[in-house]
Amino acid sequence: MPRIKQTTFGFLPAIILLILPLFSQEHYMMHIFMWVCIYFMLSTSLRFIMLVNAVNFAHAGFMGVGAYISAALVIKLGLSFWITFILGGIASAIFAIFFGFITLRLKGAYFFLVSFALCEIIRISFSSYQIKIFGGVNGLIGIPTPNPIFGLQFKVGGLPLFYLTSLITIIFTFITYLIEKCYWGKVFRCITESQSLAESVGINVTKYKLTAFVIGCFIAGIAGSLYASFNGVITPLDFTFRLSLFVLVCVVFGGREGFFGPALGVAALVAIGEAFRSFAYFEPIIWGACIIIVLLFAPQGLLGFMDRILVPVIWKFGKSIKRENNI
Amino acid sequence: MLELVGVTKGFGGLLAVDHVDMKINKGELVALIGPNGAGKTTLFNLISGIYHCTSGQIIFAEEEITKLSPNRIAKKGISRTFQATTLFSSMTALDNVIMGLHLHSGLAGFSSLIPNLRTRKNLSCANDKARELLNFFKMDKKSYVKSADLSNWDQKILQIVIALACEPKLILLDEPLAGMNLEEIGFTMMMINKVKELGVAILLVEHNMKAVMSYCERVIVINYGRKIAEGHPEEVRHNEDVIRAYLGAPELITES
Amino acid sequence: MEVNWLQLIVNGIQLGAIYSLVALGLTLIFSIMNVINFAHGEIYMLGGFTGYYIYYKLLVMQLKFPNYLAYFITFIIILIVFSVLGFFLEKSIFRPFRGNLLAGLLISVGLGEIFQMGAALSFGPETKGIPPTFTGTLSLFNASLSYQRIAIIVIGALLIVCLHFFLARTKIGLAMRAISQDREAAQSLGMNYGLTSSLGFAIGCVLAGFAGILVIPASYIDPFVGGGYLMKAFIIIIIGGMGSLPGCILGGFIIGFIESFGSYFFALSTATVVSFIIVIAFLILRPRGLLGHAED
Repeated sequence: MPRIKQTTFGFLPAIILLILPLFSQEHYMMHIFMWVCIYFMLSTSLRFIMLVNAVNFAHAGFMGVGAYISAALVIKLGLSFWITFILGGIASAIFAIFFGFITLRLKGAYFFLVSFALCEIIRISFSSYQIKIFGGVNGLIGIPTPNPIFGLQFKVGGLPLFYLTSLITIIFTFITYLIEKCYWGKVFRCITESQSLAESVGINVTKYKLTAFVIGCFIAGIAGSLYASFNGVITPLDFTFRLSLFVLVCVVFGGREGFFGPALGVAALVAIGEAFRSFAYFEPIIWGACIIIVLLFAPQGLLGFMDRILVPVIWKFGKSIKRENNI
Repeated sequence: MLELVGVTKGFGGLLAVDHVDMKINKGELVALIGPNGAGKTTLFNLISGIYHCTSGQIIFAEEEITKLSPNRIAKKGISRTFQATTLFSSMTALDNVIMGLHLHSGLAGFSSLIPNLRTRKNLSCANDKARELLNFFKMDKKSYVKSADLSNWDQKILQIVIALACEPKLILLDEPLAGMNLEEIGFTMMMINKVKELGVAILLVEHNMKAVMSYCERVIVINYGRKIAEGHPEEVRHNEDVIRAYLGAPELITES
Repeated sequence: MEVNWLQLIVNGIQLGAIYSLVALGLTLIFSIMNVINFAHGEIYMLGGFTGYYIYYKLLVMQLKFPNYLAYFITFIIILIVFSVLGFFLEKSIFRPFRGNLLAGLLISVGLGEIFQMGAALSFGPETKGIPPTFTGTLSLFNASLSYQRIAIIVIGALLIVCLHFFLARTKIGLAMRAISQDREAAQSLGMNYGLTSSLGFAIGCVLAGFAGILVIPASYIDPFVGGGYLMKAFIIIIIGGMGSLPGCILGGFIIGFIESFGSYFFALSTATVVSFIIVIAFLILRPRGLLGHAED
């Protein structure tokens, strides 16, 4: 019984991402495509952190840290995007080191709760009128798009900006793919399956957990910087736990076992969101119902559904057709 | 080599381990026996660093390891198995052993993130070493079976293989013979003896008295967290305190 | 401007009682089923609306029952309806995911969304309030303490005491405590996990519902209050100690006092900020909370 080959079909999401503009270059759709890139980065990096059994509910907060640091550096210090977007990621990573060091030793549910608290703390900090740099409740406005390079202008809604975003997305998520595929990925899996056995063979669980966490948050920070530059405006309400929740749902909905599960989840949830956009009030109800139905019938997410049900069915179907033709 | 001095562990008001003194010498095969709930697994957890001692000291190879974390204790040379079969269930037997080689495969650092020649060499060395170890335990053919799919016996043996892969000076085996039939017991004890012959000290918790009596040079008896007897198996068998402790559970005493 | 300490203290106790009830329900559900019930705030909200529609609209206004009787009847109704709701939710939706933290969490999120929007669509998004059940105020040391608030404290305390006796003295209560300590061990001892889980969830829902009906005569209700209470419950659990029921109560009163004093001397938002700062302090100094035991 074959399973969906991650390597063969794996690059499909990347290719689809890159050819998205072929479907439409309308301003609204381009905005959606940019968001798809951001969601893809966020959900894949969240899943990366979940590889060491930590569900980071502050993921949106770390995105916010990256966004605010990058935007503040551009606006207040006039630095170029090309430097600040990395700095945004680094700021996020440094923050992650401190937070992770203190809290990663907590058991699953408790880590989840404190990361929830952290997300709120980040939001409140950015809303605070005491810290003038971050613009308080109104946030920061007038964030410019990246400076032109090689004669390319990055206008909002334009192709160059989209391809920049999608390329950065693909590069950083590819890095996490490589890490997962190498020995470190095995260590991560061990930590999730049996932390006590992992420790007893000498695995320094803290080191690996912290590294996964920091890398995941770094990528969230990069996503934030990208968002700041293509949206032009950031406010504290952009980075609440609701966003973390959406990203988490993408991961679980799509399937956290495979690397491209989150991609499936993002595609499905964005599609559902757009399809039901006109039903404004019913949208939360539909969203809630979708989550419950999918989890009840396909607890491994869409990827699991495809692996366990769709592929075997198609396989058997194909075999029975073959058999008929041979006779 | 391993010395426990006044090791005590309390939970709330209850003393699970009560001022235990113990010595294990290099290359010895020692059994730790006692009725259920006597504190044997707690003692293991204290030695391997999962629990912190309320008081007392644990000294290994002349270094104090009382306050070390489990992974540092593994680095010092103590490995263990768990009473409830604990494996990396979604990984193959081979991968399980490769993880056991973590500290000695050269893959433990950040350098294994870089896909250079050295990393690839380390990986293939680890692969070979793991296969050797599985071969030593006659499990070579099952290398690529998912460990969750192995039989109970194979799983228990795999636990020992993983523990041996750590290149330890001392292995703590927690009820390695649980759930086995006579033939399996015979084979397992033979393998444990072979491990001892490699120079590794073994501290064994077991309820199977026949196996204990036949293979172990020394027996330590624990009851209610205290050491109540110690010595050669024959001496201990006839010790009054021991008999009294087990009178509550006579089915655990088997005549050989 | 004289500071009326007694009033602030009583306020703090009253808030603490309500927050404790909500947090207790959440912790109970979590410690038995390992599910963080994100719909808990919405259940509190539904309790409040039950108070509005059944207690006020139906019993008092339409059927002209006397206040106290109607209030008591509504409590009984909530007890029955919310336990049935709890049983039903646990059995049909949460049972398959027992122990699976993530799935249970997301399902409760889905439920919460459905409840919230459902309430907004059915009851309308406006804020609603009702007159107090226990009218009048008590004058004590220059303070004007409304009987409603005192009633909240008394009834709240009574409920907490009942819960304590239930967990400490009854067989099922002991089973619940055993399961929350060590799920596997409890199961191997033959405890009826299914019944205990359902009952635990039911009690959790009932507590949240009671909190809702206790609050509404003194305050207001709208379909969106759930989120705020959920957040407070989380803060309480972090401060008071993960997985500890006494910790919930302690944490609940701490937050109650912070809010009472904080919103008087500064502003409500400042009080919220202060609670979060305390959370940060706890995270840094004592991540498992005052009375908790959450470390690996």
